[in-house]
Amino acid sequence: MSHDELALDDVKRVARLARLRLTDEQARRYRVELGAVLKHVEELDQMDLDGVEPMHSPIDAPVSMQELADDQPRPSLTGNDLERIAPEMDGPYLRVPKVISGGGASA
Amino acid sequence: MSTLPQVEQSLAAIAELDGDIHAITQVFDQSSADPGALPGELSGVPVLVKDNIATTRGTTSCNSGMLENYESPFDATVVERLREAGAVVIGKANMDEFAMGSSTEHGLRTTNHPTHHHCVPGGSSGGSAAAVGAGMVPLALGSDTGGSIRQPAAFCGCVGLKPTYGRVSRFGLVAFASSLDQIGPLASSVEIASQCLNAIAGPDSKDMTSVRRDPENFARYLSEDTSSLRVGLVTSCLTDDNDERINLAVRNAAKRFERMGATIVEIELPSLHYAISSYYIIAAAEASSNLARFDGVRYGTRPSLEGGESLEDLYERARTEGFGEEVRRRIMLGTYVLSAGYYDAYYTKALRARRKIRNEFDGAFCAHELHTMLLPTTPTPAFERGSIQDPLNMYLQDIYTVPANLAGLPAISVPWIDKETERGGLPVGVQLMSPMFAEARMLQAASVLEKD
Repeated sequence: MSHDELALDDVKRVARLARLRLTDEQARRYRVELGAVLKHVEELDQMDLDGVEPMHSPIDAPVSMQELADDQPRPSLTGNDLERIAPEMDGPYLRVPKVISGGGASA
Repeated sequence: MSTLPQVEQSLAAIAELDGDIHAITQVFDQSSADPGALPGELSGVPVLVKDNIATTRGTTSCNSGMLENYESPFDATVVERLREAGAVVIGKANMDEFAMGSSTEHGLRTTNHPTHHHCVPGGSSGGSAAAVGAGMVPLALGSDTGGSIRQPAAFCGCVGLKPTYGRVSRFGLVAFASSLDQIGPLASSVEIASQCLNAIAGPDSKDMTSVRRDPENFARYLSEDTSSLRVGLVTSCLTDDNDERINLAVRNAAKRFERMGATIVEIELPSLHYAISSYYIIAAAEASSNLARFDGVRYGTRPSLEGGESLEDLYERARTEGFGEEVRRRIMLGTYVLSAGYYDAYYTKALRARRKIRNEFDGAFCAHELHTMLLPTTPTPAFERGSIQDPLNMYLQDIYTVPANLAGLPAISVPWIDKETERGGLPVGVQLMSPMFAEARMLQAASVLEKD
């Protein structure tokens, strides 16, 4: 693990990846708080993990033990359901700002 | 009002008590939909459901600005199953935003401790725990990703059960960390918790992580002789860093087991020390991925855009304005540990540590032929509101609960009541943790702890 301190630029880069906007004050605070967490988790370096396989899920059982849905079409959400959930729709479509050639609030 | 006596009693208790506690976000109108008592193991029992579990009635807000007005088009599988067992879902319980927190101080609304209002109820299922602890309902559902059922149960003086990973369907649970999340009961007794597990357990075609097992009655050992029980006392968890009441409660619980004829084996689990580090990397990583769906397009609240703002602006503004402080912090942490150049150093390493912890548990259960392990639920009783501001310090509160989630094991917190630990009046919980799918024996052991 990197023992260097978390840089302010790293915080801003991660915020961009996470699609979050930070004020300068927030970025400085996250740098300290996340830096402290990252420093703490360096303790994992003390464990002997040679040859230990990563464990993604507590269930290692074969898929046949588990409940898989039949590969058949079945009813899903209706247009009415979507209208209740989505912030902005246009007929059967979700409405978003213009995507092509950047700019323009609504398509 | 309702025609069902227990429901009526709960509604009266809520009206009387919740003004000072704020455990409940919505009470559903019972007059319009009261079907009378349906038959079943939970017939007529009023239940509250944590607000990250989908209900077609009311909203499912996760205590977040992002989902403040979200009305689910479907009921979670657990809600359907409670209803089939005769229970009456009377409303929704408050929580830390998106289940991220240990105090129910994060998000749109906060909840107070049921008897010590200046303290926190724990979290993230703080509303569920406070409502049961205050006697407003005998049963509530919570979700447990790193202790979010057991820790608030310990703080509020009720029973909190995290079932084995895969035991209960998560369909309709708003996902936080999918390899860790599990739904379970907070209850006024081990018996009611067992009955609730009877109702909600079992495979579900809508959740591919739910495991197919033969149905069983989880209450079947509750009145059986306990002299054959073998209990591992995890002495490495009884450190001087804990509040002395906690260590005393666990040691007294071990003595109670011995008096009941059970065998106590002292064990050490050195890898547990690393569980918090492994957990916070994995949980944050999975959260950053799960919460990517909240983009202001398909769900939730959308900011009103200025002319010239792009789709990218929409994503960023919806997420920045919709998520609260702690949720943003964890998304940041998770995004960082998954980002190029850091993935192996943090995420993969945390997953290896996870396997090592699981192996250590398996080894101890096997070597000593243990039915269960006894350890603290929390390092301290409930703390005062606002007293833990540092995020890392808050994360460290989960030290004894996260191992069960990492390993997938069932675990339960039971209130410990005796004269020595009663000082100050704050409840204390002790925790049992058992092998995968061994809930029935664990519940039997838990029932020993609630006897005087």
